[in-house]
Amino acid sequence: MTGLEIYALLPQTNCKDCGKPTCLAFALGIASGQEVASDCPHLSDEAKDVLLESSLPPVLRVTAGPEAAPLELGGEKEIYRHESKFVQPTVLAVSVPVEGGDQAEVTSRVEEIKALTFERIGEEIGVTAAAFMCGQGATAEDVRHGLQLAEDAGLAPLLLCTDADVLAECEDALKRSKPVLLGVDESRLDAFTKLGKQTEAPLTLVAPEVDGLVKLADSAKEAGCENLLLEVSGCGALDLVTNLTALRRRAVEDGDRSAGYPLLTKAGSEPLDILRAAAALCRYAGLVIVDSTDPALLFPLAALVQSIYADPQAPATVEAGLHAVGDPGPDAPVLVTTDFALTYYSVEPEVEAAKVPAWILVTDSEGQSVLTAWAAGQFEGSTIAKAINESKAEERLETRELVLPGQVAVIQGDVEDETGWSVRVGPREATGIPGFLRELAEAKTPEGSASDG
Amino acid sequence: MSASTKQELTVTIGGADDGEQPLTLGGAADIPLGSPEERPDVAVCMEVWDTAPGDWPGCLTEDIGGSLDDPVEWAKALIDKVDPDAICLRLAGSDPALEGRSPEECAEVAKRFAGEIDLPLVVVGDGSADRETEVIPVVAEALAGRRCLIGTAEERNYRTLATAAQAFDHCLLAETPIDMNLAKQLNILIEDTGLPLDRIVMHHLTSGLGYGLEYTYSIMERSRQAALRGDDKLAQPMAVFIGPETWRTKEARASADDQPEWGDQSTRATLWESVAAAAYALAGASLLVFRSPSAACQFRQVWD
Repeated sequence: MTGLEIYALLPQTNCKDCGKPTCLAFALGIASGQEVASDCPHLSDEAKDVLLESSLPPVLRVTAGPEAAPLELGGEKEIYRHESKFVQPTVLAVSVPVEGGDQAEVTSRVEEIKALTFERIGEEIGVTAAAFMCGQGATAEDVRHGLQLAEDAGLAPLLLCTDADVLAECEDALKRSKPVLLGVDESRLDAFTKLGKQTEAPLTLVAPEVDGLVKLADSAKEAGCENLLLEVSGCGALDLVTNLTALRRRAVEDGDRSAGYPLLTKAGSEPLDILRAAAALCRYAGLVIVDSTDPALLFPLAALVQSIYADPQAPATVEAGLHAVGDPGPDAPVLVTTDFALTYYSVEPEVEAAKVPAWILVTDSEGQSVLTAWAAGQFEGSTIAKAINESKAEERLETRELVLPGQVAVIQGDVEDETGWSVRVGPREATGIPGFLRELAEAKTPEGSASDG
Repeated sequence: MSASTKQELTVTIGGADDGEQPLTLGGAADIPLGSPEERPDVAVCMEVWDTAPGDWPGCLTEDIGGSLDDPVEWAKALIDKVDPDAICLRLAGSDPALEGRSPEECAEVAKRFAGEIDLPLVVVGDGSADRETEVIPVVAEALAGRRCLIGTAEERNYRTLATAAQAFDHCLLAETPIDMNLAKQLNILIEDTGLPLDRIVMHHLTSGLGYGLEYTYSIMERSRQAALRGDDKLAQPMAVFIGPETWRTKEARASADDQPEWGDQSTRATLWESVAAAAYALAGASLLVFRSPSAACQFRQVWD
């Protein structure tokens, strides 16, 4: 809606109760997403309906999980991430078979899942949900046990259980844990919409193609369930991606609310399943269930989530200045690099791995990599001199030698002139840093310098 | 060169010799898989070096199998395993740190290689723009008639490489650092030398999973959208060198002993390559250069 369309719905009294000087200013604020309509205490009921509905994102927000650790899904507005960004990083879940009887196996699987986290670019990424898949023998007691384990482990719960008796028996636990309920196809819709209303647990509607799914969503809404996810079942990677893309286009371009729910995709336990899930994840899958606890399968998928959900317009940065790695002294080596997080976090672990305490001097290069910043004139003698001054490196350190990334060896002279420090050209790739630093350290010991001549 | 057709241009490489199937890249009319009709052919190309690389992880060289000392044997091993659409010959041997080969020696190697391999060829230098400026024109002449994709043209050396592509009837790989405007500008500069726009393949300086894919992915999506709006200066098909980028990353190179919490190296590294390849294919790439045959096969199985 445009600002003027919104203005037409406001009281137009300029009462300032919303905090803005005029109703028009408030309307323009709502249109640009800076203000929320509910801040106006004098809205008519009709205006409320229209404005609140139009302020909802094309992919509705859906919440699950216990109150203390809610799982947020959806809220997406874009088809292309470069239009702004994707909002809610895809949640990775791992399945837990629940066959009944052996709770120890379930417990150890949840423990394994909990350990599936990885550290990348200063963030912890990985698996944050557990999907309990009940077989024939699973009892209400098993479901309760699983949901409790998930809560204790800090994992969001998902539950596949199609036995109505079992579900009825553990309704109290469902109300508390609000797991994402899986596998609601047409035949189960009536039973599950009732359960969904009673427990507020979201339902995952399943159909093999888009039109069928949208119809199911319509029926679920008619039955009073709006907390939904959609799953396109049983197709190969390309059909899956085509279907997911059609759903997102329908939600965003056509404003079809019944297509605008978070999307769920199941993957098996083989590398090819991971690749299929990866393709789905690039195209909007908000929740992915993998049937394996192998970190070699989950780490690449987690790294892809991190990449696709990064803001493409705002490069992640680290703070400019001196960063200490491994408790360096004032005479420790100083390596210089830019403030682009991907650059810094390829350098830092290598310095760490070298086990030679060192300083990393980070320049303010507006989040560009070394080569890009150099090409833009934002990684040169003056940039580095500024970083030395602003970090007070000359007061804090005795070292007067910088290690320059090998790819920009060409600026060695310029850096020496601008900083007055001597400059040593380091390796071209971060992976060369450990060897380089160890050689440097050896050369500094008395025996080393003697043999160096 | 009609600016009125609102779609990606097509570029055809290879097919000049009898029996060699030409490879056509591009021609998309929507985003990949934007509709059931929009199922792009993504070409799988395997990378071969003219000299044995020294520091590749064991799981990669075992995956390739065969000898890495001889590029022809190496290529044949890959053809057996992958049945690729094209082969990329990297003339790494001109690097003084490796063989230090002269342009004429490189041309000799390339000519012998091309004589044995009847697939469309991508031929690039050792990555140094200065050496590529000297090496690639001589190699281009030796491979006249094969309609290779030669590279890599950058802002610094595009004139020499474009002239060679024009003179010896090749296509040109044009590389710019993750920037739409620079890509467009380089395409215009190359067109000004006389090489038509449908002989250029763009390379947005792609990077591996977790090392800049987050930015390149969007630049590629935006390039595709520019093409669909009718901008023929950004409508060139796009190549991604995902193999070389992947095997620089720590996540591919670290063994399970170094990083036990990351799991088996071969499984992890292969996926690190194939997952990024799938992402780039969805961003609009038409030509994927792989290093690991297992990663290429994984991609093929999912994409076909």
